[in-house]
Amino acid sequence: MSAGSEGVAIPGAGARPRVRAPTVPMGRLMVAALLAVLALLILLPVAVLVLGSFLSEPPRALQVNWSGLTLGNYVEIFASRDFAELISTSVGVASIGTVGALVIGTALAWLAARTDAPGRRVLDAVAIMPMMVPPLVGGFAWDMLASPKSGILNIFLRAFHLPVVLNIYTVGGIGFVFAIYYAPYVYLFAAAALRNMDPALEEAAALCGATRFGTVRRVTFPLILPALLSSSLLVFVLLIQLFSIPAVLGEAGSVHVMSVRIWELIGFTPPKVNQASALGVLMLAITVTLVLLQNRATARRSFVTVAGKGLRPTPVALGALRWPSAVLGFAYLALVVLLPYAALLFIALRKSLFFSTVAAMANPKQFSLDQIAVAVGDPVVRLSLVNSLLVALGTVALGSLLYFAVAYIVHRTKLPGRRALELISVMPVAIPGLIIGLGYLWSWISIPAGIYGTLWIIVAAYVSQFSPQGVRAIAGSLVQIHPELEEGARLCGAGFLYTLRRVVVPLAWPGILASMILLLVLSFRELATALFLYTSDTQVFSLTMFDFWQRGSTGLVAVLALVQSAILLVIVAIGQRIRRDPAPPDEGAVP
Amino acid sequence: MPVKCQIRGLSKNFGARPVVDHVSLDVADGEFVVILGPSGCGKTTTLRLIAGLEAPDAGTIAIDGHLVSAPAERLFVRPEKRGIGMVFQSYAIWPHMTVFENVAFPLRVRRIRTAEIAGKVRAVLERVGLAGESERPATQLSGGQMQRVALARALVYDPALLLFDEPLSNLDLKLRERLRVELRELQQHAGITSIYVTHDQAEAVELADRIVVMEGGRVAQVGPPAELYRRPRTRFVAEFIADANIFEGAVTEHAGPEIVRVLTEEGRELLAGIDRPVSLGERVHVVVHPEDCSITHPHESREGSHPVRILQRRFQGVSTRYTVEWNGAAFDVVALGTSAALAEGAEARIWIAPERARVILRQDIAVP
Repeated sequence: MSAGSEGVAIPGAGARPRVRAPTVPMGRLMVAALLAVLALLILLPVAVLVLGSFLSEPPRALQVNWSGLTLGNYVEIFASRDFAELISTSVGVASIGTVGALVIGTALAWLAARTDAPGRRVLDAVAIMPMMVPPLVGGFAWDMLASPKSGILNIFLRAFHLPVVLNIYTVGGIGFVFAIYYAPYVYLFAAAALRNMDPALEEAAALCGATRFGTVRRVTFPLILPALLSSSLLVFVLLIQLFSIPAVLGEAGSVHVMSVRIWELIGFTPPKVNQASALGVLMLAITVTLVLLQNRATARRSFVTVAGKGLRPTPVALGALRWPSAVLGFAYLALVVLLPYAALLFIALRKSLFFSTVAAMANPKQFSLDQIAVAVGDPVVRLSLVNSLLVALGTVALGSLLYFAVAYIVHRTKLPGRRALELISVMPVAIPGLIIGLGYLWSWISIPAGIYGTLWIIVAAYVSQFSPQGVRAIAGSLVQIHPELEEGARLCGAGFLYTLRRVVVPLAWPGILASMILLLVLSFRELATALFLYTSDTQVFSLTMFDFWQRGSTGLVAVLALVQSAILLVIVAIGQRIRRDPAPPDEGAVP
Repeated sequence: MPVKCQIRGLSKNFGARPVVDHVSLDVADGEFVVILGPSGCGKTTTLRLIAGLEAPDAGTIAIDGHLVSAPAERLFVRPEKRGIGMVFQSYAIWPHMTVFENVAFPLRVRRIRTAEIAGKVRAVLERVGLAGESERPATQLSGGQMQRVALARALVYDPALLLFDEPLSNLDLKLRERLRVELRELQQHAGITSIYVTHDQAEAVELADRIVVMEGGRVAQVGPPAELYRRPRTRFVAEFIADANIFEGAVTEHAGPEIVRVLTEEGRELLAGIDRPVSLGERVHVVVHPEDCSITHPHESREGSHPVRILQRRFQGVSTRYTVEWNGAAFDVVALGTSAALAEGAEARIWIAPERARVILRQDIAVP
């Protein structure tokens, strides 16, 4: 490839092609610029955060009191009365969630990929739907469904005189919510592994005399074990850093986890930013270690399960178990999507939230649009909705440009420094959003560039946070474009930028679009990353919801949760629509 | 004829491995040069260096007397400024455009007026046999049609040089043979200087004015197809350009002008032509193409013919291939014609014209 020279501007190249190559190639300048941007966006905040965790003073503009270097923050964290309990609870809920997600995800994947369960094709779509429900919204909904006193499910249980009380405010309850919302991650890995598996491996076991379920246990399961291990590590990393669900469900039952504790430390008067940073660094150490472990697990996934193409594995006949299995699958959908949204809708349309019997719930006089009117009339709601949309659009615009540039250089050129670009761009996989936010808080208070307190700092934090997903989505479609399509354009006389505009971007458009939709969704619903970066003027929608919830305005929370979900649904629907009918971004096909 | 493309000492390394190693070549105006070699011999890299898709490590490339690559002078003209047309192995037809848009692309880049573009595109599509197909989406084309679009796109702006990177290798045999003929006609008609890379010797022999045989990044031999066939300089060239019997022997006598007598280890004794002086007793290779021998019944004995026994007979349509035992070792002979006269196991005689057997030096790469 002519990578080294791409983007090189040769001035005055006319009919007589005798031109000196410039001494500083543009390609290298571009790599250097991108490295600087990524360092500023991703490395700097983390570095400043780590530094801050060793300082005794909160962040101040352009000042680091080096004499204040101390291990005191760590000592204070480790010596705090409930430190052991904090860690064990954090690990405990994340572990319960991971195991639950593993069981649900694997079972659903097996039902959908390898059995004759009725409706398994629908199941395939259903199993990843919970990914569309923002965890914060899931948390609110389960608070309304299963709080021990006023939870809607408990009211029904009492009505049927069942001696069971669901309590979502416990380690088990939070672990349950974790599990149902993070099962799709396991599902994706497990279903892919099951579909790629050579059916001959299973058939051989059957011919050797193994029973149907003996085969599953002794052949199928061990073969997909690496995929399961890898996905469970991923889920554990996501859960140990998750803020929204434990923040909503944990406090009422005194279930304290690290992420929420970091937020509480910042919320102290005066804020204990240094201790929060120390705890943040500890959390970062855990997630980084686990991500490195996961990479090793993925790299060593060398069980040869992928065989020739086009092999359709014979579905396992479930016999009499067919229907119960299908019902189990759809019960999952009910738990994760249907029940929560029914509860949200019910609460959103109610005048009074004080009810304790089924009869009171059904009272038609209580139904009203009051909450919706209040929500619409609230200036904070409107401001934060606009802010969230602006932030999401800003993230998509800046993020897409940055991610495309990085993906292009990494996958389409041989420029020196591209490995470093790739490495930095995937780092945020291991950096919790909360930690990115905390790092931005430190750095942009320390560097008075007028960014702190604007929407831009939130956009910048989001662009950092989502870079692994964004780069991966664009890279996926770039690598599918044959290099000769690009080289052909160059030989036809088109310059680098013209080739990019007329050939590369139109061909990579589906991937770029998918990445943009993903970015819109992620940034519109994000909470933890913005937690330390907003002011009253730059509050985003998720924060408004969280704020109302803290103040006990449950009805408003329900309305906003529905609004947020509806907007996300519209974004995804538009994305699907455009993807089915892909139009290149310029006049491409028109003569 | 003026030189259109001049290559001097061209070298390119991938890491520590030299892929193109001091290649020099002059291509005359209007000439059709085919670079032939096995995969990994550096032929495609040489082509990409000419196109400007790779930057050389050493040497120079000049087109029409203007340097386009000269690393020693830090000179490198980007591909889009070289005015070269190229037909890729994958065709590189842009799937998001119609046939018309694909062919019009180079003209649009050159900011040619819309009315003129339509005329030029129509004319070139007619030349490649795609008249009336201009509004077809590129994704609906067959392999052969894509090949034609690729050719039209490369021809439409009258490039100084036309490069082909194994353009027919993804097509089936029948289509390949037809396109070969068309391509040669088109090239001769347009008089456009072309460099064509392939690993298929049949393609090379049919298309080329001159063939450049490459091996291990170097030029093994350059010449018109017939010369490479008749006078291969190395064993590699002899084997690559056509099927060949190659055996080792020692020179025993200077039997005439540029003719020597060679005695092989098996005890075969024959006359063979030489290109360069050899000394008596020198060990050499002898190349004999199977179709350059005649095979007859043993009673039709002829001066200088050799007695053999037929081991295997394979009918090949318009010819018959015999594997015979000649002094205890196998030897291949091809007899033209559809009737196979000799049976397996039978005695026969073979005769080889002295100038058709060639002596080559015992090394795989010629001394430059």
